[in-house]
Amino acid sequence: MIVKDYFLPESLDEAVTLLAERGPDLLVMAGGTIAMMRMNEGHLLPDQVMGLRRVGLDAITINGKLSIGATTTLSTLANNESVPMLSQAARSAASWSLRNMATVGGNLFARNPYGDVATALLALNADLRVINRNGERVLPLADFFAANRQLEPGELLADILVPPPTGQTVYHKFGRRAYNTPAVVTIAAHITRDGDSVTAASIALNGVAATPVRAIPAEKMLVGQPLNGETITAAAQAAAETVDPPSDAVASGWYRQRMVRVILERVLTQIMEQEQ
Amino acid sequence: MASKVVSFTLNGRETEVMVKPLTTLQVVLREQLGHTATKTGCRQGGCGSCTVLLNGEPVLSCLLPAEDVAGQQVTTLEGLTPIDGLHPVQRAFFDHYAVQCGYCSPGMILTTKALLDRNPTPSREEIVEAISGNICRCTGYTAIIEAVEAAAQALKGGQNGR
Amino acid sequence: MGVNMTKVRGQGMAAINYPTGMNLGGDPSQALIHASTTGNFIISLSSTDLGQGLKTVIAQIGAETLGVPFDTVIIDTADTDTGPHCMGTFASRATHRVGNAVMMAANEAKKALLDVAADELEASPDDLELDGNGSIVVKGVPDRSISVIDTALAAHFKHGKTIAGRGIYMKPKSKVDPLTGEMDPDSTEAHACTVAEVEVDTETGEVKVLSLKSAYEVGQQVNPALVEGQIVGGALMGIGHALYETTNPYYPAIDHGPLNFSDYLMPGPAELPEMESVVLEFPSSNGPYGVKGVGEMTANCPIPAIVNAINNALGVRITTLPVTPEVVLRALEEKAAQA
Repeated sequence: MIVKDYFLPESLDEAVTLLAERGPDLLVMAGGTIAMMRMNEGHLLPDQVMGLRRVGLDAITINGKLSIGATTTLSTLANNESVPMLSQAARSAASWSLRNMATVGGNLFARNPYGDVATALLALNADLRVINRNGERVLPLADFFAANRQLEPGELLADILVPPPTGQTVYHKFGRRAYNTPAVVTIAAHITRDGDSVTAASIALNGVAATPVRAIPAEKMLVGQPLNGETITAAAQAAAETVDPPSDAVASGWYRQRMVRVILERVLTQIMEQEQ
Repeated sequence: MASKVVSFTLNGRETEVMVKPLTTLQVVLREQLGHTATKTGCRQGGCGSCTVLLNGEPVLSCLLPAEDVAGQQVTTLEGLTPIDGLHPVQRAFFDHYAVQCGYCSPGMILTTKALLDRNPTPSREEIVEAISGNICRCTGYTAIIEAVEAAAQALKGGQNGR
Repeated sequence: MGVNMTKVRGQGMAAINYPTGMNLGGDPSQALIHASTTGNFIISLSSTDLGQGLKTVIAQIGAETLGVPFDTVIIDTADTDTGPHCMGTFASRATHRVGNAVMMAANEAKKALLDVAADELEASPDDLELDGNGSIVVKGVPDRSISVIDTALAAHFKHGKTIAGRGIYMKPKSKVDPLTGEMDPDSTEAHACTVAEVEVDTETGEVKVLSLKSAYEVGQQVNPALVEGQIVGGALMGIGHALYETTNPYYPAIDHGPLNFSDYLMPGPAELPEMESVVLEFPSSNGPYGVKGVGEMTANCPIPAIVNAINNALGVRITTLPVTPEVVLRALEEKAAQA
């Protein structure tokens, strides 16, 4: 390791001040499960690194919305039952020891096909609170992904804000192994129904693009319709047709595209069969 | 920035090391402190052979900067092993032929210890889930799962490890 | 869970005839044994224990041949530069080759040991035997005995003699008949048969191995627990080769990785099937105590058994490895197109 400076700020103020002073050359690292791996391999050789383990962003609070500190570990989220889809997503990520280190904020930066917790957050319409030395702003997670995960210079992700789900949620991580597996595709769905009819649909997919994405055409097809075999098949087909997934060692794009259809069908069927 | 002194508790003993920026706990344990039970496998967080317990929780020492553990409790396999014998988890691994090449064993044993501390009577499925981050290439896991079950029995029977 | 989900089951079988060692143009392993001053026996080898338990079984063979307790035998495989030559730990050859070399060395060392003991006991070496508990006794006269420790001490400090032995086992090169291809490539052959049962999800292409039931014929087992360990460990490797593992999933395109350890897919503990195996012992004519070998074939036999089971379940004929879910779906599409 040839890093010249490693900073471990003790507060958020200290962290954003460092970030402002040092500029974009300062590598920001939370749990280290992405950055340390790349540094160990020699693929990332930063001069200066800032670790966030001591800035005090590792708590989950509920105040109307669920507020998840950016450095909350996946284990902490897995053990927090307030939003079942989130604890399930966290529990099915990586391995126990990795979940004890990896953070919810860091998961938003994980390269495809990792970053499954972010997929659940996307389906729940989470917002990000980012701060810099002069103040803070809130931006939708969807916008963050649309901008290819770029924050403004000097900005640091502080919290992830999750509105309480109003409908039914199903999370399905489809991988090759039962545990500790990268995803072929991951689907997180949040469907609100009034009687027979779907009033709101939010479906997030992972493994199909550089970042988790929403299956907008499928969502649009479902709203105003009942959930039945026909509408489910049509929505799943639409979702599959609108993605062009990458090939990697886990699965080919050819296979992933088919699995978007199959797994989304299963997810929506599960929602249909659940009590509202 | 120059090297820093980092103090932490290693296996119950106050320990002080001088580290360069971002030196991993794994390197400190093996190369500075001679605690070589902690293995160097993939250094990518993918194999589990470098597992240590941080405040009782399994973590991967290859991804953990040593400076981050200042003031905290680190347990390695050396700390689990009594001077005159084996910890009940080690004994169970020995008795059940759960060790072949031995490279995964320190991480497996520490993960088992952490599991049984939280859940003294894990189901087979809970054992499988807990050890799924510790890759074993030799045993096919069966003997390891049996050893964890036996360790749970032994610890329940009063042979309490630390 | 889903409305359209379909799962089908199939069974497949495979049997193999597995050679111990290979035709290398002369395939030797050597062993050197010497006693320490306190009557421990150090067996020096260049043969590497990969975790299969070679050190344990070689110590067992050495102790058995010498007639001394197992825990007084020390295996030293420290350095392949300076140790006696061994071709290596591969081709399921180590227990057979190294065991034979160790037996030869142990017999020579035992003779040296008994010669010293004979001097000490004023008896003929032919009348002496080792009791396996650390003593040398005059046959039929149990109270006339000397410990191995005292014998080693006497050899070192009174007689000025070494208690040592040299051993080598070499399989000579076998010439190939240019007309028929006939040759004698191996030393002996072990056998196995595996029956696999699988469940295939025809929507996702996922294959779950439900059970692997095997019979293994491995010659004399030296250590049945280690044989069992090889069989179970090899079976999970076989599942890996059959369904998961590849370094180039889209060969000849090679730019998709796996780029790191986490991306390299192997089965985990949750993917273990029900496993049952029976071990048969038909001793070989030329192995130490009738040993053949178990090693590699434990990973080999499950692979065709699993693929045959998939073919049986789906009515297809897959001939590539690994059988990923994509391979399954493509085979089903091809079948549908031909129908």
